[in-house]
Amino acid sequence: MDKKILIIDDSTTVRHQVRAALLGNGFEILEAADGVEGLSTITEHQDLAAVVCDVNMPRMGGLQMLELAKAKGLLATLPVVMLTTEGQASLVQQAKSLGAKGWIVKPFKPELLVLTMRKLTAS
Amino acid sequence: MTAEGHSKRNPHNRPIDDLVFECCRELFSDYSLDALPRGVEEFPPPERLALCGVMGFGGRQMRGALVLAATREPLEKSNPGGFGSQRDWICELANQLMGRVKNRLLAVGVEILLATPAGLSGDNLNPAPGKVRTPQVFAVESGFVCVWIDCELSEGFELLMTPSGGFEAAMPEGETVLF
Repeated sequence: MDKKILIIDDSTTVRHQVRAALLGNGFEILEAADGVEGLSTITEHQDLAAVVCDVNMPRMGGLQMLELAKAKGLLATLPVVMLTTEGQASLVQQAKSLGAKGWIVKPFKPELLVLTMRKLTAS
Repeated sequence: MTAEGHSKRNPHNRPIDDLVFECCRELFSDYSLDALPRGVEEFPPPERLALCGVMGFGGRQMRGALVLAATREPLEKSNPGGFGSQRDWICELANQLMGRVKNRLLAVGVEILLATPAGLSGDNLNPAPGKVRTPQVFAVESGFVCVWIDCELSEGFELLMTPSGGFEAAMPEGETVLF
């Protein structure tokens, strides 16, 4: 059975690129366009295997969403990887302290994304 | 940098223009495309520029906007799956370009915050003469990419792109870390 991955990014193109990379590799994809939609989807879908999340988005950014998801106890068993143009060490550290399991600086390599998601969802 | 690249660069550019120039070449290289510098006289006719992606940014030392304009060909070639719309894609490319610029600025102690990108289409997409520096023009595949940055520095601040250590390092583009 395919593992369910949520991609949160305000760029439709990036969401579709992630979808194309992961589909056919044992993953099923859900999409959200910002942190508000992302948080709502995480709350509704308790069977998510992992989340891929942008940082800078309208309405609610990825780090704020992470903070809220952590406060709601939604990240206990749900790995989140940030996929962003940001590479600032303090932001990476902030994501780590909020419970993120990884950080990828765009542009991403599809094969590396697949490997990363396999590793994070291996259990 | 090729000799051609050097000769095509605007000799009056500021350090920030040079940084944007380098980052733009690196960005397209990551998509396996050569961005070949061209003189400003080769700035494509405005009607060929399909769209612009605009990235606003601001910080204590500098603020402004970066504009990435392109004809259709580089947009299609850099997004071979044809995913999403060209408007969305040029916004994302502008976002990735400005993210790269931001990460280089961190190494010299300049921190900026990025806005989310905006797309812009129009019949005559040109920088205002005398208001901003000359755009950087690149030939990419059979089309063109133009980029310019409209940037204001804080009073007394001079941007020096010489890494002196002690500043926050940024993760390089394409890199993955797991915690």
